[in-house]
Amino acid sequence: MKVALEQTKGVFHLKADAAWPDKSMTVIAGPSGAGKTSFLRGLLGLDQGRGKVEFDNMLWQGEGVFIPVHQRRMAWVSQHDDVFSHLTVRENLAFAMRFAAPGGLNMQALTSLFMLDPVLDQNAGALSGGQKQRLILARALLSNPRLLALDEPFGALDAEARHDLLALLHDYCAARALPIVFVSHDFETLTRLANFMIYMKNGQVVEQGPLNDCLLNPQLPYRYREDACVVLRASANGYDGQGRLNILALGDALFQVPGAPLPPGIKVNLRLRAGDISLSRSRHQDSSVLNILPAKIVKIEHANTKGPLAPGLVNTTLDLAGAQVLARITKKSAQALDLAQGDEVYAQIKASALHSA
Amino acid sequence: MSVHWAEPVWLSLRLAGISTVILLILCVPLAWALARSKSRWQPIAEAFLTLPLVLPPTVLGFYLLLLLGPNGPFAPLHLVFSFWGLVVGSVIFSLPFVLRPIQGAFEAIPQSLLECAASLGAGPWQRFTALAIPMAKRGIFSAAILGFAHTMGEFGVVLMIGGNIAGKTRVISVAIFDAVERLDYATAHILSFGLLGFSFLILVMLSLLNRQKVHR
Repeated sequence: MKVALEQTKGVFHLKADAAWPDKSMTVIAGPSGAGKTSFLRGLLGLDQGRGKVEFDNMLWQGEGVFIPVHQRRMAWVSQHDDVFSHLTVRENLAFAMRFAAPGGLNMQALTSLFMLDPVLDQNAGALSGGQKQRLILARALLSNPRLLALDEPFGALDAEARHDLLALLHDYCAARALPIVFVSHDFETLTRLANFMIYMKNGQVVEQGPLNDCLLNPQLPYRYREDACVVLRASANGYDGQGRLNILALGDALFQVPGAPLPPGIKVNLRLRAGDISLSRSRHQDSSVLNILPAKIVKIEHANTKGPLAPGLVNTTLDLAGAQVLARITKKSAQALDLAQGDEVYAQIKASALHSA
Repeated sequence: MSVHWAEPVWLSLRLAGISTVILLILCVPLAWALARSKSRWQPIAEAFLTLPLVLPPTVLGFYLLLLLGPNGPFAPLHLVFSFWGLVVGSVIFSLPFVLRPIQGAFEAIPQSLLECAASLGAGPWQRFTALAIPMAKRGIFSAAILGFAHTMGEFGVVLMIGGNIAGKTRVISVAIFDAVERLDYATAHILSFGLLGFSFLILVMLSLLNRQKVHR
């Protein structure tokens, strides 16, 4: 997707250029007032600014062209609970199917996936917040879109419901190579759903790139967060039935992650939280930590007045099987171990702290 | 005796019924256009269409008489002092009463809902027919009731362009005026009390309709 937009709304000026792979799951992130929603609405055609938008070899806007929203096959999920409250759940879904491009979508498969079967004949206005969100998503997917666009998805849901719905949506879209572009403030949402990031500030795109590059980028706030993490792509490489552990391969490093067996060879996201990784000089044999992997220190960052890193803590960037990983340790430990850039260490990663999604 | 009041009542009912149907056909698309318009001419169009709400009916009737009269541009239609002339007058006179509630109902539909429908593939016409009209049906219904009731009670415009022709333009309000002039208080009583009761019933219906809306 290639976007170059310019728009003035009162005193706010948006001038944003970005490009990302068509099939990616892209998050538009940045501080409040950065123009994230304006940028998203502009590229979707909900607001008409000046500029050019190209998606999947189609010109959506530019050179005298402006494809109207209803012809873009882009399903839009706003921050509002946009259910058609005068219709039942079933009629809401039928509305989307009426205009859907042919593609063999099955209403029943989606209603059971999104747990809407018990409420199919209820009035959509009478649903709970979580049911409305599931209806809106199922309806968006039933329209058989080329692109799913979300503005602050699931903001109103509690953590557990949000987690489940995110996993459902991620798996559904990943399996069908359906791209997503979304705006989110929520760190968990963006690390679970996105694999590409557009970072905006003051109406402009200041950074863009694969998610992990952005999570590690020192210009961006993410690597200094208390819950900083990286997300790696690993592939299922066996199962330890006795320990109920999946073996995940990242380059030549093997991770053991508890859970139900994954199909062999499948690619999964592996979230490694900086706070769940500790470092040692030697390989401990008597530790409860399952994943002890050799790594090399690429960079050590101390808390300073500029960074938001809490005093007494150190951010170390590791090269782990060719991937960059963050480990958050105390300054005291870093000094005790006399850690320096270029040192070979062992990263100890608690298996219970791994997330594959 | 019975003919005295039955004829104007029937005429008023016919006039109000026909005018309401025409008004609905006109006002539903017009209200949608006004509710959706971002043009800078929109406030001017809205003000123009609301004029009948504030103008004395005689002013309206006077201009209509000039337009429709023997020297006016619409003279060949022979509308003055005819039933269809009354229909034209009533439609213009009651327009804001029908337009406003429908426009209000359309404006109450969240913008994001229409955007969402568009993103699902619904074009402008489908958003209007499959979404906006069903969602505004309560507003459209109250507008129809209001328009009907308002037309039933109109007097000034009717008198100016319709005169007082029995069976053609002598509607209830004109018949009351006529009866009082002839000191026929019995007929005036029947008609006045009938219209009073009818109007009260209409307003009760409207408020019941609005109450239902709040409860849902």
